[in-house]
Amino acid sequence: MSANALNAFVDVHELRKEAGRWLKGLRESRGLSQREVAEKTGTEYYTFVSQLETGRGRIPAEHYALWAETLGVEPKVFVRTLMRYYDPVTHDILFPRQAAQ
Amino acid sequence: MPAELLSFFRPAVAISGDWSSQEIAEFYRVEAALVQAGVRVFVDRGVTDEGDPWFVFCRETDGEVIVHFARINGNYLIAAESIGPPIRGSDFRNALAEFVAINPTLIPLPSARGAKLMLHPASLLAVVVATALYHMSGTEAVASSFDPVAVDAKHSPIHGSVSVETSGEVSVDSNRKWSDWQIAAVVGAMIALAATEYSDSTKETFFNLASKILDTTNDHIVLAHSVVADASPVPDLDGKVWTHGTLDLNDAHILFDISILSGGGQAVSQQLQIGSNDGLSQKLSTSATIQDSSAGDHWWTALIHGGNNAPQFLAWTDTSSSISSDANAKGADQLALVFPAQGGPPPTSLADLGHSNSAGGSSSPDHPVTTSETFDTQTAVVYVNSELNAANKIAPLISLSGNLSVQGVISHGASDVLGSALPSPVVEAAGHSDGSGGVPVATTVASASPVVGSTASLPQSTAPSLQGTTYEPFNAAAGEILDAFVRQNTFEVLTSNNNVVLFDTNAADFSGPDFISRTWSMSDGSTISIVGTVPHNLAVMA
Repeated sequence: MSANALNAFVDVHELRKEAGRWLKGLRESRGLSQREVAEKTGTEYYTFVSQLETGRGRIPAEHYALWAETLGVEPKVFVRTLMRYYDPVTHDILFPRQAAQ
Repeated sequence: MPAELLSFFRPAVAISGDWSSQEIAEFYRVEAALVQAGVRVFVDRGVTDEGDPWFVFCRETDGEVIVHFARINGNYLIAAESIGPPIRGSDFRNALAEFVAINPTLIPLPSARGAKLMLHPASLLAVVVATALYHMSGTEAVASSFDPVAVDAKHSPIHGSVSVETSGEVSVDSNRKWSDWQIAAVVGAMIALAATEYSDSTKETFFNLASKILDTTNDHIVLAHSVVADASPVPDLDGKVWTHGTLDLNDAHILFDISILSGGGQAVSQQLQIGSNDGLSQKLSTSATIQDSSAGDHWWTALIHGGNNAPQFLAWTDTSSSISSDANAKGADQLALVFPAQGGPPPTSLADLGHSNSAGGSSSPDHPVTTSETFDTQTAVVYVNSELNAANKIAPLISLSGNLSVQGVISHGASDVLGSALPSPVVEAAGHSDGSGGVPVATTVASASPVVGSTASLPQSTAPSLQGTTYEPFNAAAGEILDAFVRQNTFEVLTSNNNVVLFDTNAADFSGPDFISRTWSMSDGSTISIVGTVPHNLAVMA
């Protein structure tokens, strides 16, 4: 892996970990268990929630709305925040003001 | 611990809690095999808020999860978003097999002769990961997911004079190039994990098995690393036909380095099951003699440089024991042994080697084996075997020789299992093969093989003496405790000289009130010890 690729990989991983911490914080603030989140979001196996909170993988786009509802976040805000973690380049283009903050 | 158990793939009672150290070791072993075969992956794992473990293989290039393994409420789950719905099962091996059956993309098809090759579950795991990666990757992504250098024959030190040749010319069709690389990588991983296994009943070597795998697509496919074995049938004293071959030095290097992945003191007890079109199937088992790699060299160095002769490879058919736990598996079991040449002519029969038949009661000659102990005559082992047989269980047997003490191994193993040393110095009773009781040393040699059931009468206890230490004679009460231990626990059997230790591998047991460590002396001067839990009434009695 080249240095640039390695840096990009590290960045992606760090962002995913941030996303995981964010999701975990939302879940815990709602008093939900990982299994309960899985049930409410249509996730087939609840270990996936733990995996996400560790910073591995990402929420499938088709489940964004259910996740937002489950975690009590307005869907647009939820998706925009996720985009910041999952696709920061696109996010920064679409929301340059927020990116600059 | 120096001799690693691979209980992950054995049918087992569902357990709870985090992955065992053996399970984790197996995952990492597969990861290493894939990486070495050129598949760019890394792994991660965690535990849910309810304590259920998961383990993921991720694509190195972007961190995306390739496949997710979990154990939820005691049931195994395999999920690969790129492929389809998750597969669930109480048995990991069956779940893997089902996954592979549903997704045959990279799976060898039955050969033209109808023989069906069934890969070791560890190979299946590698296949599952690589197959899922294949599915989640477009052509471009695939190209970045596989390391062509790792599978480029031009970089391989192998120079095969064999039927499976490496080739740098992968494919003239650029659209198929990465597919072929990918297949090469997967096949390389599969071969790496299975190549030490051998088929004799079908008069084929693992070499031919490798060819069979490669032939299935009717296409030009590159094998990541070729292996060489000049096999020839060798009749035994009983008229059975064995396959005996000499491994080329370079190929032995590659074969064993990849197959057992740098050793690291890890013994391997794998099984490969094959079936023929006459309806019979066989399970093969390999006992690889290894050397702890902590000395700086790979353990196979001893194999390659241990003598003037090339490492010898010997396989034979043994009808006297039944390794299989599969009721549908019939026919003879085949055992194989790899050992460093000690000079002189290579052995041509089991009688030359000595047949280390852990089942006991074998019709094979009872000669000492150069690098592993023969325990047929040891009362303790025979008794353990009888208990295992009665309990319809198998347990890995780890034979220790050289300066490796049972105490050292157990202490190390306890540390591995518990994350710390044993709560008390409970294993002094295990005895010290080296008289020092020290920890394993780099020059230690160990071997592992499954213990299989056999029948034996209750041994009579007599004079207790071991290195000046006196132990309680084995009696009926001890037999009751031992019987309960065997039936209740998942454990390893460690042997060193005349000492046998049944070591509970469930970490949770170590904190329980019924955890005990006891040693008894046997009639022939050997000792038998248990380290683990027994039912409460027996723990109190003990």
